[in-house]
Amino acid sequence: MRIRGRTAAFIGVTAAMVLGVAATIAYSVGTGRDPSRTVTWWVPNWDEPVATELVQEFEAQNPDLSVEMVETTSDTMANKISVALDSGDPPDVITELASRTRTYIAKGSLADLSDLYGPDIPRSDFIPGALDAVTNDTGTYAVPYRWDCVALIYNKDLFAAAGIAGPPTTWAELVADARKLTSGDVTATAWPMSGAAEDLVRRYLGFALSAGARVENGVPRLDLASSQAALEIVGGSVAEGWASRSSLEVDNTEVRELFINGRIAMYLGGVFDVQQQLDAGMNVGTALTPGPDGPGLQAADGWGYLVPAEAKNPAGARRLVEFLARPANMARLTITYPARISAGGAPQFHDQYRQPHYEQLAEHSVPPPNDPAWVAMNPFVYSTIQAVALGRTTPAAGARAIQAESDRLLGPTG
Amino acid sequence: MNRRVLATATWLGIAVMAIWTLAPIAVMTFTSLKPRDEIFAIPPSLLPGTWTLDNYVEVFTNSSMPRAFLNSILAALLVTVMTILLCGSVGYALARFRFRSARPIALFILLGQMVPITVLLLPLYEMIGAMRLLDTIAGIAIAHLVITVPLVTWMIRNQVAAIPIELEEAVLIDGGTRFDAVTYVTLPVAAPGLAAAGMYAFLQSWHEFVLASVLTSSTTARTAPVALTEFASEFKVDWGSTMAASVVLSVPVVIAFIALQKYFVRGLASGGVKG
Amino acid sequence: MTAAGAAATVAHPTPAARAARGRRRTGLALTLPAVIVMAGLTVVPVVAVLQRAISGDGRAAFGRLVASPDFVRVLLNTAVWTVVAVVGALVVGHAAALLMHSRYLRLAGFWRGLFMIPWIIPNVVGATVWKWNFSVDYGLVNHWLLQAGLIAEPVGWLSDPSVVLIALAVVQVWFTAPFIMLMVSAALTSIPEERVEAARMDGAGGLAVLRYIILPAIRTTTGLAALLMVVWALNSFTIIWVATGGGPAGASTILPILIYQAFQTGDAAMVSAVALIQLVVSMVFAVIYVRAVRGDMEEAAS
Repeated sequence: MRIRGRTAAFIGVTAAMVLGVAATIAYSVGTGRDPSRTVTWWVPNWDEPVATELVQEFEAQNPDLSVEMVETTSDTMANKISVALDSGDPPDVITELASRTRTYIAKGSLADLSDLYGPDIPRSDFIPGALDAVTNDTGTYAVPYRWDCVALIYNKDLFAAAGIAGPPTTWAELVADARKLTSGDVTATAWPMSGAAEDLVRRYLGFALSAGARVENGVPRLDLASSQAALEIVGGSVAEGWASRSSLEVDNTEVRELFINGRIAMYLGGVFDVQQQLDAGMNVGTALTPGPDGPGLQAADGWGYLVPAEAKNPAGARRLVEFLARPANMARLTITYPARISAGGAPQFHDQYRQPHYEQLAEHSVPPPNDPAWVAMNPFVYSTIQAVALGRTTPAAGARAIQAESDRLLGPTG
Repeated sequence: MNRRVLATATWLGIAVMAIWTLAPIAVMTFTSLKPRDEIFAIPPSLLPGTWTLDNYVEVFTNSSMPRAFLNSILAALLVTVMTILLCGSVGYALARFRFRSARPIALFILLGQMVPITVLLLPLYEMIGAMRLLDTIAGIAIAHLVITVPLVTWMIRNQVAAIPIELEEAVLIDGGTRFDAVTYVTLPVAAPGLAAAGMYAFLQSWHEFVLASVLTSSTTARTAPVALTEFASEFKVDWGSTMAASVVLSVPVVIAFIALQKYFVRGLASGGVKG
Repeated sequence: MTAAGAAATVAHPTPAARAARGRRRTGLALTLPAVIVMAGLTVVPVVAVLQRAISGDGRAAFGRLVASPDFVRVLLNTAVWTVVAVVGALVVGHAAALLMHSRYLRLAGFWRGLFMIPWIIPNVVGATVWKWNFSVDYGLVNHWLLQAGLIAEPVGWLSDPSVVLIALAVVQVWFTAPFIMLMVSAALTSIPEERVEAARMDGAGGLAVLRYIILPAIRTTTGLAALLMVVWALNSFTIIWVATGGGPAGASTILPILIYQAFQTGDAAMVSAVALIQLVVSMVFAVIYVRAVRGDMEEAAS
């Protein structure tokens, strides 16, 4: 059978393509690494510049190990980490949000790091609550390195224009000030009701905790009175008009932008926001969040290093985490506050804008509730707060609905 | 007069369509040319107050976007080649050979596109992991086959079926082999259709986000739509750069599409979805 | 096919039968690679989901899901979203394709390429841009409508529960209509010019030609396009996820959002339970799809 020219070309091209695809795939498979000498570290992209310096120092001190850094991004990390842990092929060290770790702990995906704590890393050196967030009855599953929470940020000019001398310190003052501040284009405040569910739920929880709710082992113990009080502030304020109606379509970033545009006079935000507003030339002040009659509580959160139970190089991972947990290294790798008290002495953490946030964190915060059942309940709470804001349900009815869901998923309040 | 009314109506329709499709694109483009502090200005304005190329500089010099762009092209090309090989083979068989399992096979492949991606996420990750292809372009490409193969199989099958079988038989009678028949008759006639199918596969892979985001972890394999999320960090989203990167991402594809859309239409017309 | 099948059962096959069997084998062999790939990529995952959904955890999650008061609303939302998105995309897509086909239009290819842009740009980006456009404070839609005097105060496109789903479906239409335009454009080119001319000669007006000649001639395409749009609408979550996350107060939560929420909270049993429902819904359309496709196959084979 003779083969014609074009046919030969066709067969040749097809064969070349098949071979090419096979070779590409085979080559990709072959690019594995030696697990005993490599430590893979998943690090968020905003930590990356400093992390690179730290890794260089670590490699210089540990010539037998090389660290492979993989950048994660804010929008994709939660998904990716949970899939990687479930699949049994995780990296060696992961930087992850403390409030998400208990879900992984419950699934048995993380290695117990209790043995790392000792003279070099004393437990007493951590900001109260930081370790509780990543500890259960059987062990401690992460080393937190950064810890922060929100506090009140307010526009001094708008406050002065409304004839208010200082930031509110109690709920009564908060509501009274808010009514004075709301006029024309300006609304007193806004809540991030359209971003990630946990952002909004945490605002609600802060007020609920201030009114008497507690957190036990990562599980919030809500009661009707505190829940209703929190809903009146976070949801009811929108229905009443002293929180912006735009709340329903903004996330954290856009709340900050409303503030910068002078549309809202105060909001609950992280210390990082303040720097941006100062850079933009605003006259801002910070203060503790008000509670019913005195400083209110906030659920703090932070970032820690995890070592997956199925890490390929657990020994190398521990050495890296130990290195990163040194106070000096913690202080370098933070844009808010380091989790270790001995790392947080530097004046940069305590100027007039940062001091209220630090006090809120050190004296008026509790670890983030992060029990998987509570995390699973977040979308429901989120949706209930929105319903209150829309005026579709009253704070009292919303509190009852949340309580029913909480009794069902978290067990009845003890 | 009637003619003039119709012509006016046509152009009016085009104007409405152009505003409807292009206004959001204009927002994207002009936002990419705004300085950071103008993006959330109140009241909003379409045009920048100060024009700046800073966002583009940021994208090209200070992000992994150029690399991601290359990754996207490689992944999409690999998907295209694999899809054309697989679907060319099965599409030709379904159009030209009569065998009992033909219809069940065709339906089985078609139904693949009914399965929600969210359902496939975890199992696919495990499978690609078992093949040691996580965080590689090949791994993404293999996963993307699930979204390209069903429709492309269908497109190619119909292309081939629309070509009279007598043409191929003539070659066989002349003493040619089946390969000869395919190369001298079927391929030239079906070429626009294959190009359209290839382009479809390329584009599907090009803008797929969920699979690519989960299957890649490092910048070595991260594709462009995933790399867009890099501009969002914990406390701030750099929307200017995100939009600049999106513009960079869209321009070559749009140009290629305008150049090739003729084949796309012809390819679909010659049987892809028979009218 | 039946003749060949019968021949194959004869004890001593004739050369023709042998050739037929050889061809069947070649045919099967050619389908094999694609079948193996699709089986690996879809059947294995679906079986895994089914397994988990009928396990104890899965059944419990299913109970939770069905008992939840929001479940019916999610189904309703999904229906509204699908209907609006599909009808909208069909109308816009057909209109655009007919425009492209107008003899008064010049540079049709250029316009077609331009109008395809929404389908080409990444969903995440498009959804973000639309989110801004719809915003009460930063949005150009409200700004322009206010300036034009069409509305007295900003509409909460994404924060008013009664309009949010429609607003989002409009975005889905924006993304998907271009593909319909393309499919219909292709179908229009295959209508013989003489048929339209003949109708014109008989004195039919533009609308009559459209209604009695053009639309019937492309109805298979319309049907397939509609099914494709249903599939895309049922699988789409990026737009809603980016713009509202399913809110406010669940007003824009559809099935895929429910899956993704469960995925995010690590509730694997719930993922499987919702996935099962979605599979069932998809199967209904799959049956319709199979019917439509089978007709098309026979038509093509004849």
